[in-house]
Amino acid sequence: MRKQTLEGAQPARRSSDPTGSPPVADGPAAASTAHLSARNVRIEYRAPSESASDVTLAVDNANLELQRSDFVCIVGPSGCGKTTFLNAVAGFLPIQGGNLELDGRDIPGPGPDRAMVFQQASLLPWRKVIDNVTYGLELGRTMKKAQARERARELLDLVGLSGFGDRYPAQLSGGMQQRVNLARALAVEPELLLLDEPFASIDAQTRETMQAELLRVCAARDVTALFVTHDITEAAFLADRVCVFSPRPGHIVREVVVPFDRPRDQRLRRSPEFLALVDEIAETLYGGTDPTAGEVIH
Amino acid sequence: MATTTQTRPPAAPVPSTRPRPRRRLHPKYVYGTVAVVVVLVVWQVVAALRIKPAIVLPGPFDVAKAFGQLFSTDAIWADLATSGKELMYGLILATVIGLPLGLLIGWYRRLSYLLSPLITFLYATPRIALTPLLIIWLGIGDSSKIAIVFLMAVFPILINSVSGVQNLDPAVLRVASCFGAGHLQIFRTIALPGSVPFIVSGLRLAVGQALIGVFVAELSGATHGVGMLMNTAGQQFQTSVVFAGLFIFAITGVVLTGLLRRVEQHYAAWRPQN
Repeated sequence: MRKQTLEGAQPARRSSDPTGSPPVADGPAAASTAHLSARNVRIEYRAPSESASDVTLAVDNANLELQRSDFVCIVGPSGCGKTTFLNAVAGFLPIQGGNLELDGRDIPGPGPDRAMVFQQASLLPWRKVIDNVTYGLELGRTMKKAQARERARELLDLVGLSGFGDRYPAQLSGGMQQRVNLARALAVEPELLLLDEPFASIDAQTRETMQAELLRVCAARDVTALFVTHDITEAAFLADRVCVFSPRPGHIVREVVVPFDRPRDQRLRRSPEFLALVDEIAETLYGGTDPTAGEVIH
Repeated sequence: MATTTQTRPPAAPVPSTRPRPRRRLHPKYVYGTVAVVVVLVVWQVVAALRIKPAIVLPGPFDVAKAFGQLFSTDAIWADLATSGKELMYGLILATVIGLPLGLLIGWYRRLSYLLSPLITFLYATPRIALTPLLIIWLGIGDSSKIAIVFLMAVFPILINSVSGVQNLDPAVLRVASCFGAGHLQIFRTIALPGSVPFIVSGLRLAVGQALIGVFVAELSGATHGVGMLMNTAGQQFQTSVVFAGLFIFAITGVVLTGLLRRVEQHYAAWRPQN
């Protein structure tokens, strides 16, 4: 699966060689100035019921760097450990090896400096939309309630939900719930926004709209984002760089720089350059076994 | 990185203004009223035919008359107060103990391992059969009666509180911990509000059980109470008074469960499907 078939196709886009060695030029030992830096990260996963010997190596030797304002997507086959990696960055899982640092410090656990947008909107159903958006602020206890609501209202405007603050989540469509999910994550003004396939359960048309909306929102707030998806077109449309994960144990086999200018609009998706890039990522991902884009982009 | 997109922002769906129900009666109430009236009429007709003597089967009018007689003296108020006190004390005690205990059992898995054999045992036992024991231990006064009501009412509350906490959406719990919420914060902002619908259902079930408790408790050695009133009236073949007592129990149950059902429906508003 590590075959790199497209040697020389678009070498300018490579920021790492195909062997999976660290993209960090200075090597693992160098102190990093990156916002998020993962070096040789190794994550083992054990299901609670399983015995101690029954450990799955989910991520091994993963290397990644994020500068501020970067938008990086991780793509990979399902079960490759990309979500596990994201969970480790979020602080839900401990790492068993390597370094995972945020602004040069280890990640001790979940914290308000990182916010997660989940695949399921996971809104608190007994809270109105606006109170869902303020939820993170409320837990942080650093902001007065009126102030928090003011910010929540601004964010609802930003995600296109003006006037829906007093609804309950059950009264919203899936796409709208996902917007609330995004607004809730942005409300705590995280230094790093983590997104775990947030549009996977939304219909295709809404998804494309939401992707463009996400770019707009991220630009407006100058967000640093790490976005996990299995959808290659989604990754290519959103990211500055696309990191391709190998099958388990996951590591980044290649980083593809996405050269398209911002702001990007929906027409980009139909351009030959975009499709060529998608093709290239797909070939990396599937080892060239099935180059038909129709198959790989679900 | 200023970005604008040429896609239109998705049009905000027009809030669906559901047509308000018109002032006409809902078929539910029409049919329900018809059914009640039919039963009353049939009952009155059968009673009036005197297939059985009035002492065995009084008609609705006889029962209404008995009601009038009951409420013409002060004795009934003492009965109502006694039974009401047993019911309320029992229910309150059951809530005060069952609700927090249930939440804790739902929250701490080890506590549930510890207590679930006991709870299963007591839940499977016909708890009303503990009445003789409670009378031996607590005497025939108020305390044994409240204890019976409590025992009847506590289990629906306890078990519903447990399942309320155990059925919390793990995705929502993850959101809370993602924002760095502490245990107490998760309990207060997720576990408590999230299990409210279960708790209210438990309370509603508890009312029915508590009423059984009140009646049975008063069968054995009470000086006042609606159950005792019925028991005494039954021994004296004042059948219409027995019916009147029955209706007092029934109306209490209907009113209390009706109130709780409204609370339940209020919280069901945010449930995905009620």
